[in-house]
Amino acid sequence: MTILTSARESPGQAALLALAVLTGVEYVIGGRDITGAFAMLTLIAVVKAAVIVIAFMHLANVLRGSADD
Amino acid sequence: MTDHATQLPHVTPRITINRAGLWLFFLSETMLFSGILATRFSLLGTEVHEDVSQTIGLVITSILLASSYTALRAEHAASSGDRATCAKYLWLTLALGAVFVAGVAYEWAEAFDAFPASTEFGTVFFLMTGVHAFHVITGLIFLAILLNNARLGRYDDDAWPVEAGVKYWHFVDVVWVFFYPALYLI
Repeated sequence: MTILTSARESPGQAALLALAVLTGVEYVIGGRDITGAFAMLTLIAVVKAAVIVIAFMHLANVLRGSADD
Repeated sequence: MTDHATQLPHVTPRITINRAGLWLFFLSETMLFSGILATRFSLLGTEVHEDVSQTIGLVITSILLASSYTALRAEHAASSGDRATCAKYLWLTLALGAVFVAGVAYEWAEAFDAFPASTEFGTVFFLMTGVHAFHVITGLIFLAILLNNARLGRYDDDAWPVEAGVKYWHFVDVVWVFFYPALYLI
């Protein structure tokens, strides 16, 4: 509960939490013989990359041409 | 005295130009890493060597992801002029990055016996982890320089160098997000 509350208060923590959960899901899928595992792992990798690019790298600032942090 | 800046219709702030340049650099790096990733699937299809340790892969991936968060905190601290917090989080990021490199080195020591570089999987494995580790080590050198300068207060007025170094670190993390499943899971 505390983790979820603090994650809501800080976008960086929320992103880290999302990355941790997605990495765990990846690990579970990779360790089992699941149909469509390749597609699922690719999708998860794309989502994780998007989380980092948006939440950590602030891509929106570059696209807007904003001088804000 | 004429103020030339006020006569111009629009002056793009330096930080905006810096950021655009940095992202163009990331784009060029993306082409390199995409080529390497394409080579992996072209040569091996969806095969993964049975001797690859999924546990080590998970551990070093988690460490690298955590280091991105500490790097973000360092960037935020630098932009708000908090020198001590910035230095603390840069230290943490450096330490986590060093542990990641140590994990890759350990994996390499195991890999030399399990799948030497002369094998098809070995070639791909050492190429992918080697090129990526080179970028991580470069990032660590950047971070060490940033840490030294941050402690001396050189970024109190302009935090752009910290932002650039940290964004490079995030980029290296993004690359690993694709390399991890391609090497350890698929």
